[in-house]
Amino acid sequence: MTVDSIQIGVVGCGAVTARYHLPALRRVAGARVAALADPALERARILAAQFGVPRAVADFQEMLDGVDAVVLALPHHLHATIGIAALRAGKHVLMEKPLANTVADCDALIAAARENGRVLAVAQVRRYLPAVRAVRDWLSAGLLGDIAAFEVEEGGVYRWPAASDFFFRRETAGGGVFMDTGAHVLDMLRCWLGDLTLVEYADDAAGGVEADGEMRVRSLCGAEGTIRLSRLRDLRNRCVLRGSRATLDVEPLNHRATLTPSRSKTGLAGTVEGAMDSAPDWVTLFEEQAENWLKAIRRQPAEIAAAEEARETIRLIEEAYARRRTVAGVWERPLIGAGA
Amino acid sequence: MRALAMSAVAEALRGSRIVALGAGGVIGGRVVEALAGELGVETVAVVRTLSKAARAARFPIRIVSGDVRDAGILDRAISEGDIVVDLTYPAEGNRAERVRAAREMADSIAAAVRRRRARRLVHLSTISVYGPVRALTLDESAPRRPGADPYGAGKQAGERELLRLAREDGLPAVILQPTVVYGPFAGWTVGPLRQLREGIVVLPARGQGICNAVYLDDVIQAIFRAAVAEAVEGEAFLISGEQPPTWLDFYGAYERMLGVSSLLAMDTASVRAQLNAQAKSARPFRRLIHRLRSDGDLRQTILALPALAQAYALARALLPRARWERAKDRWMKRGGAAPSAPGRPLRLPRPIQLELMASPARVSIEKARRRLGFEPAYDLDQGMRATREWAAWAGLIPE
Repeated sequence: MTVDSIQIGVVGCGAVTARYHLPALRRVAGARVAALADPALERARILAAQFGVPRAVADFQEMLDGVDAVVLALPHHLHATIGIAALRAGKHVLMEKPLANTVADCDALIAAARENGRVLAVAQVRRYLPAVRAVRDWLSAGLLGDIAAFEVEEGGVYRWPAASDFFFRRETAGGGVFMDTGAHVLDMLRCWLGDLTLVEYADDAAGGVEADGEMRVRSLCGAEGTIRLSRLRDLRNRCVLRGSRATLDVEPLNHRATLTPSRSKTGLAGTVEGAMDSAPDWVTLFEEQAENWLKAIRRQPAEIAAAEEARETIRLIEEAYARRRTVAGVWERPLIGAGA
Repeated sequence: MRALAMSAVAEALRGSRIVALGAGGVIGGRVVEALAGELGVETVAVVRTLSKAARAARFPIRIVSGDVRDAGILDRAISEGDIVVDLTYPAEGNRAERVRAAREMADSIAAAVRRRRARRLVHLSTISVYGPVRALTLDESAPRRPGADPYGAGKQAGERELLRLAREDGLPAVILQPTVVYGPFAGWTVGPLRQLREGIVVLPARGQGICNAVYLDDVIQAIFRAAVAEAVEGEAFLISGEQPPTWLDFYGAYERMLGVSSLLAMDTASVRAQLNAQAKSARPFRRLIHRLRSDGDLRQTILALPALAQAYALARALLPRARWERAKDRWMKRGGAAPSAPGRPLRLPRPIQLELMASPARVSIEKARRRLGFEPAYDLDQGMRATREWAAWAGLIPE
């Protein structure tokens, strides 16, 4: 351990902490995980033993004295309260996405970071995917020309090993697949196309959280696109960007891309350079994310998702939910009068 | 008795709260949707793991996660006067393990129903508890002989335990035995569509076995009727559709959805021989087929196997295309159907499925009609139309 090693506390010991944050932080130089906090103290203790973390506490306040920075991987509705408390205690924060459930909470977090001069970064880990970076570079180099339209699909039968039920309650999760996967996908589109405005939105939530939905948005340059997300069906997990010069069909999670020039029927398909094996190595991406966060804390140039950017994603989702059109599943035929 | 209209059943349900155990599954998901959505009945969903809760979570209902063998979980979910719908079953383990687990689950649920003074327990069993049926009709008086089938044996252990407790202890349990459940998310829809897309699906009994198919929503209807029907405690009911199709018709509906020709109707002895050959073979048969053309030794191995089915598979792999197509047409007895490209793997029924698919038995739903007022609302055409709409949405068939 070096003298200037940054002492990190991790609050929330659910699946994302166990699978990604802790394995990634272990690899990062110049930082040390000093404490874990979770009201389910036994779970914090188990992870502390597994990852060699010296302290495990139930209440995050108990750990604040001994750390410089905190990773917050909590039920969404706790992001604002605990995030603001940590920032006011002078701790830098890496907040799991979504930044918060509402724009008001996002603003309160941003204000707390400013007032206390602390880094508030958001774990938009997909930004470090090779394909996401590559597409951003290609677009700024004008490879596709002017973007006219785009489509994004991502869906699969839900399998995340959630340790608590906050994910499935509107008051705690803030929403369903759009608040969860959508926070990633919309951030990725913002990286590529800039700010987005809502055109329309429909989902299948009937008082709970949506499992399947479709959003239509417009980019600053006037391109309209559709984002279709699902926890119930396998979608193609790809993004299609249609430009004046070429169409790009990219699968960010597979690192594959097909580029088809506008006047050609034949595309060029391949793997994005610098990609890993077929499945993303998430621990490595989380490591890169942590390294960039630590650089930002040390006031070095860093590639982080700033809270102000994440706020824009939440603004879009919040507006979508407010303007939601509810659509029942195609299979939900009435039982009363069925077959008549 | 005069059958209640579904609207009256819904009205009766609204007087209680419904606790769905196993709400993360195919039937459980639809039970929750129908209750919390269309019927507006207070619902509690109990799921084995939270990762199965996405569908139920669309509704503002209470979701409890955990094992139904844990009394604390059931106590959190069930209150006095509730109707409990039990859709759980042990999905893993060998036959003995599943039988043991099913009995433990049944005992735990029965104890909770009594402890919490629930009004009714509707337990979903299966036609598989009867095992292979050779008779021409099947009703609830038939012996339960699930044989080696771990699924059927587990289910039988569960229903037997609950029926015993109903008889001896007055447990208010009703057992439903659905047949081949198809429709949205159902295994008998997702499985066949995948098989037909990927390979050639072999049907025994030349495809003329009786497929006692039931559309998912008809099972839901039966569950709701069983929840409110009078004087049916301790009874079991087979639940199936009207006028069962043959397996060739059933799979044929999926073939049309996909726009493929991937069915191969064979005689049962040949399919059995092929299964035996497969069992003897060190590696799965389809992998042999893939390697046939390049591996002469392998070809000799296959040729040494006696079954007619092998000859067919060889013909498909080795014959010139035109001769292959003529041969397939003859086998298929489906004039005009476009033959599939050679080289696709054969999808044989599993031994348990072979018995089901070769059976001539028509399931009688007379008892459910008489005692529950059950009347299937979907025939095969209607059910498959609804299924097609879902399958297109789910991306399982071309739009």
